[in-house]
Amino acid sequence: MALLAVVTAQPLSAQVVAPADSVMAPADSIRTLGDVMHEGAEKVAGKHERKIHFINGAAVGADFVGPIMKVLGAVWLHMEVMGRINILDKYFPIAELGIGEADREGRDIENHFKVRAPYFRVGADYNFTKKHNGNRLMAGLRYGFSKYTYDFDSPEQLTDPYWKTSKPFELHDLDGRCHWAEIVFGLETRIWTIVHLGWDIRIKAKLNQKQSPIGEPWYIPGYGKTGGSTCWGGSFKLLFDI
Amino acid sequence: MAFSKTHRDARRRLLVWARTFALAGVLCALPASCDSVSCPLNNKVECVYGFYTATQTGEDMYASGKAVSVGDTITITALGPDTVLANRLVDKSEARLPVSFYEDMDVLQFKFTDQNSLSASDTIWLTKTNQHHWDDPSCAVHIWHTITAVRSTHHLIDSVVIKNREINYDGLENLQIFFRTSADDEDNKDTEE
Repeated sequence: MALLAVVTAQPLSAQVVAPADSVMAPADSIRTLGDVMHEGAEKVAGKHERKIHFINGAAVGADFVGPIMKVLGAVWLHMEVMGRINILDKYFPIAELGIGEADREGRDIENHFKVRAPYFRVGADYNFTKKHNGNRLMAGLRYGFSKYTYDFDSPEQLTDPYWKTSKPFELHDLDGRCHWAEIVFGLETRIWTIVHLGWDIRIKAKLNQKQSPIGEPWYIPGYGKTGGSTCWGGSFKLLFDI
Repeated sequence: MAFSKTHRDARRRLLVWARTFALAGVLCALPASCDSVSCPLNNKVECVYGFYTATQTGEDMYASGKAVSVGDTITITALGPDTVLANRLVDKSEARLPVSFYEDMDVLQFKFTDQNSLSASDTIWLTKTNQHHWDDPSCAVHIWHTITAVRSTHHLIDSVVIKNREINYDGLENLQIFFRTSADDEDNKDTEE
């Protein structure tokens, strides 16, 4: 329909198609028609695909799994914002900054673990899709770091059954830091002109961890629950092109 | 035609939203579903004392020491609280004993009684540090220890050697007690003579 509108907008002379076997047919009139058709096709395609520059823009966004988890009363969560640059619609260097927190009590025992600290990640994503229409299939890598202090205490005293001595169990401001790497896989779609919605899942592996000799924190901000050398995570994000 | 295209676009957007929200639900549910507790089943913190005889003297003694079952009856008491930690052990080649939570040094008395009711005692001083340890907020807190020094009297015990300084759940042998043998006594007698 758009193509028809473009064609009818041309001067009548340009629309006259010469017989293919006519050697006398003016060459520029045939070229004009070809140009018209090409322009029309470009305009149709242009509705879905953008022209790609080297720096193709930037975007900022936020993960909203964390706030949803907070509303649902999760014992640990993270809230983060991110910013990224779009290079050739293929490469997306990204920085993520967030706050992770956990506030957990034991089930049958009244032990209490608490941590709240910022974290950051840097890395890049690669877009595997060939079309430049805002829908992206991404894979990438991240390096993450967090420095935190954590508390572990109990309202009950810890009693030695043989030596019959008791002491309160209150450990506060235990220092820890963790470096980790992530492999990210995700999908993203443009839902409105500058608005993108996406999700990703990621596997995380600790590169280096410093912790109090007293015990490993139950949760590391940005990394997730501890207890193994790897853990899974994910995000659900809303991004705005700027 | 325009209406149907718009309609198609709207339907596609709705589908995208529905999918993404479903996924958000799954992502939010994942942490809750993975919130399992993994307390270790083997969580006894004990200091393991192995019993040995020294077959040679000098530096080779510890290398050639042989684990033995002590035929005498052994009763081990923690001095201070005067709590019996092990009562009348017979034919044992090791003893697994609790360690104090907060003391810097445990003083243990080993009392040996033979079949003729003759008794002899030795005392072991175990110096250590104490650290809290936990695995999960839902698990009990334990105290782990690091042995810094050990010494003893020498009525029946020849020497005590630190094999593994860390006292935790792993149940490895921490201390080796080398007992005097009758050959040692005879040697000593010879020397005295």
